[in-house]
Amino acid sequence: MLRNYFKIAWRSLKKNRLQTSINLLGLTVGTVCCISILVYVFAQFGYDTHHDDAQSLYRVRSNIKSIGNTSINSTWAASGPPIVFAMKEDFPEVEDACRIVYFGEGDNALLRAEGSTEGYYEPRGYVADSTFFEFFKYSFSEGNPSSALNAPNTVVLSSKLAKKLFGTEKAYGKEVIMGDGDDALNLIVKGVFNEQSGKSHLNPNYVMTMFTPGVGQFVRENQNYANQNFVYSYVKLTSGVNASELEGKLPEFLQTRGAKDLKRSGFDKTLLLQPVKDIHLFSKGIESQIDPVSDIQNLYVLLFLAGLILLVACVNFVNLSTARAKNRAKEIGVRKVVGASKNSLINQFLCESVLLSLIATLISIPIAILVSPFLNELTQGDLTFVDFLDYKILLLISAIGFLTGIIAGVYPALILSSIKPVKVLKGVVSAKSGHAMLRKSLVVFQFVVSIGLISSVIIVIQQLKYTQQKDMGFDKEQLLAIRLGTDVVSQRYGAIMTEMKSVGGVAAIAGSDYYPSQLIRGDVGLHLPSADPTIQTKVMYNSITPDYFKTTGIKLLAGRELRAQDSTQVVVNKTTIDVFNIKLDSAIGSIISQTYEGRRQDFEIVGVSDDYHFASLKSVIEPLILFNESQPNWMILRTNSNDFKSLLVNLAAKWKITNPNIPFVYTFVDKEVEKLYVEEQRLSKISILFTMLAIIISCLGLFGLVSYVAEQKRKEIGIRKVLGASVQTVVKLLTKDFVLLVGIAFVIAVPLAYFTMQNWLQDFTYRIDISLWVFFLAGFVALIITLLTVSFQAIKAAIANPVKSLRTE
Amino acid sequence: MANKILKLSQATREVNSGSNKIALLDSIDMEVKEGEFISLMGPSGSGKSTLLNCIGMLDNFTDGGYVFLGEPVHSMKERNRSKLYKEYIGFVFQAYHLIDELNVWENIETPLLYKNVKSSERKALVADMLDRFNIVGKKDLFPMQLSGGQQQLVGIARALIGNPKLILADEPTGNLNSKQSTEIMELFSELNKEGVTIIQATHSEQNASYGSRIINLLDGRIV
Repeated sequence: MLRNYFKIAWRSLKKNRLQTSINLLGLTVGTVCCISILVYVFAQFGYDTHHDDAQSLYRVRSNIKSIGNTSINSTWAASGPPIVFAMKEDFPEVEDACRIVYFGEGDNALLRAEGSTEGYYEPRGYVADSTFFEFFKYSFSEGNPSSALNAPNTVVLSSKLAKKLFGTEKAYGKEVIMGDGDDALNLIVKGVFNEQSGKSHLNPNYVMTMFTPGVGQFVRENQNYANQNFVYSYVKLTSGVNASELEGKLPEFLQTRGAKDLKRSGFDKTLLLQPVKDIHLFSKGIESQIDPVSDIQNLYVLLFLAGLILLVACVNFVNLSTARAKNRAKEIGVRKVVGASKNSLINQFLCESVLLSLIATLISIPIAILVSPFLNELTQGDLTFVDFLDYKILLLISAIGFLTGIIAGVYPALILSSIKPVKVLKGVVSAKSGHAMLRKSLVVFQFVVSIGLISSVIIVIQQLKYTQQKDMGFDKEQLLAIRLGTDVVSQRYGAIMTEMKSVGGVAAIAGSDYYPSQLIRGDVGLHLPSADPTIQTKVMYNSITPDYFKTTGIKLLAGRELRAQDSTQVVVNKTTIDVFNIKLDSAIGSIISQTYEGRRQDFEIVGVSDDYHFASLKSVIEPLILFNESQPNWMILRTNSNDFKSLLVNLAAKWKITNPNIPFVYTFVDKEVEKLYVEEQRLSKISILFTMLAIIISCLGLFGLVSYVAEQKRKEIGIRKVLGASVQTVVKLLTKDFVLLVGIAFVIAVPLAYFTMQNWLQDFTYRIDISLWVFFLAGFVALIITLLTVSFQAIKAAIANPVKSLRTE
Repeated sequence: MANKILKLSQATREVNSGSNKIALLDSIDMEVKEGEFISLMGPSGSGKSTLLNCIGMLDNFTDGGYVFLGEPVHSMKERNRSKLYKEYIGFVFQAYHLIDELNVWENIETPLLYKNVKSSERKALVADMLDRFNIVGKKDLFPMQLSGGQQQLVGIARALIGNPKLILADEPTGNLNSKQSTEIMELFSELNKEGVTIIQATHSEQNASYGSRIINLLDGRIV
């Protein structure tokens, strides 16, 4: 029986080529979208699940509130140095602890192999406790994971980095030199791991032991429970422990261990446990992440869009099948006469739609694999065909194919199977196969999707444009940031600056620890000298050299630039004096104080800068204090030349003279600003793509539907033409219904899109207002596309010779 | 005395046309015995097809009694009715009504599929039928590839495959030329001799003469 169903399904699919092609194309596109997105989502959920005790790994992070100004809060991914090992001592629930220190891409250390002069700034190099590889599972090709970080000054490299530094030779036992000059540190390679052992939020490039001088020593010895919250801290809980119960005991723990520190710090601090496997997708709003994390919200948006496309394709199937019910009526009547029950007919038609949808699925899998590089580019993913051939994925894909067939087929099946045989056999199936109302509603649905998506995409693009064009408070164009990198280079800042200044096209040079738009990780607690030092306000800080404001274009509202001899003189931004209730005209000469571990330090404000966006436009401008620095991490260079190529060549040449062993690493600030919106850029690209696909599929369906209507009205058109109707009136006859549907869809789509996008915009502190013309434009585009699609068939029908169409009746 | 296949008593079929009720069939009394070959005659619109459809249970009488093989069809549920006609009645149509997407073999096989006959048995039955009608060579052809007479042969073969007690034929030769008509009528007459009861609707006196009895209809009444 089933074989028979599939046989006839196959034949009738072959017979109605136009309908089949439209359906197949739509379903295939929809399924490709679904498969790609599903595989992507699966991969996103696969982060940090491969560790042996993935279920019991937690990150200990901290929320910090300024007592002085409660509106300034931080949700940090990290916490303080002594915390996790103290937890291990105090709580039997904590089996083990691990700390990781990483200062971000801007602070990448310079690495070179012993005996080589070729150095590289390598990202994601962690300083970690020896428990690192017991927490996070990586397979080793050289060395032993459990002991690799036990000895002082040891390092473990990713196989990629090992190859870069040592080529094909064995890396184990060799030495890597980190940094340059007096501060250079010799590290012994104690292991090489395969970086592709599994997806992780850490994604390490190399890991060095905490048993090192400098920051390692600092973290090992620091006993401050309140400050220095830059240490990424992890605990492994014994199995069966309730994490939220443990979390409930942490305030008391913090008080017992560090009441004095907390009192001194002037901050209110809370410790929180976050499952490690949740870090990648559920870290929205948590600052100072190690690497960019994804957001589950975006995955929902993607899934929604993919589902929408598939649904639009299903609508095509329903519309074309019910519209063409007449063509199947005879077969249905005959089958009923020879004994078919309604159920067996329903089954037959479901078989047909399922067959079609499974064919679409079958075609989709290789297509999805073929387009995966493109998808990877869009999503910054790294999917390979292996991800597609996972049995779970394949099972899910087949289920979706099957379900799509059922969803698309069930309504047509019910309609078709209820046709009365006696009418069919008499040859009087009404020329107007019914259910026009349903078809119209479904077409309206498709238009709603199209108009909604078009207007949403326009709004997304507008917002992105706005963020890119909004005045950041500094001039980001033609601004170059050069990495000074090591202490030795930083010490030579003055000399390098003099060299660089002589290069043609260089207008101004300054230095700073963080270039504009770079994530600032440092903060200090400040208070007015007269106020209680235990009530502090958190202020971000950066260190700059003279000429900083001239170079970056940040406006000074009052006072002056910092000078080389300044030490306790500072510049603050407008928000800072607002927070401390200092009037602008009395700001210069005012004192603000820092009290750290009981010692008070006063700073004199010598300049007030206008507020500028030192972070992304998504966040509000926070208080900022700028100290003088003679050895900055970055050189900021303003150019007045547009010939970047020769400028860079000349700068690199000068660099080579002053720092032969250090790579010349630079970035354009405007590019960095753009990077702050990568996620939104990606979202907009994907929405544009999906919008186009949805529109194309809808158009295909519309094309099929109108060709059917034209065929149905052949006789009517013929008679009208004989009676003297012009081509225009006939075209109007065929198109006016569809125009009306676009109108209805417009009315439904506008509020939907408006509220959805209004909601999306809430994420941005600085955002556009949604203007009405966006919706009119979207409606207009939908109308034009509809008219183009419909008029092709309409005109064809209208110019046909009436004699022909009437003769065939 | 042969068994009674069906009995109609005061059977009426009315339709609503606007606010008026029109009787397509008006108080028909009729009895058919096993082995009869009845010809329904009458002009267009006299109710021949409606009567056949109602007897075949594709349509229902709106009033009166209809007993088929001792079962009261008029008080039966749709489901049981379709069971009944599936089992005992075969239809032959003027326009053949073969399924275009199926070839000859599959067209004939279809009723057996809906009766859940086993595959091996189906093969044997269809092969027999093809053999009997001398269309073995055509079994893989599709209806469009056959002449009208051949299509009607397939139509009759399909009606017979379920081994029905009653064949209802609505102008079976209406679309055929005279030579093909004669062949089909000869075939009916042969089937009748083998024991199949046949009711045919026809315009043609000549076709009617193959039957054992003629019932004349006019405006929905037997005259």
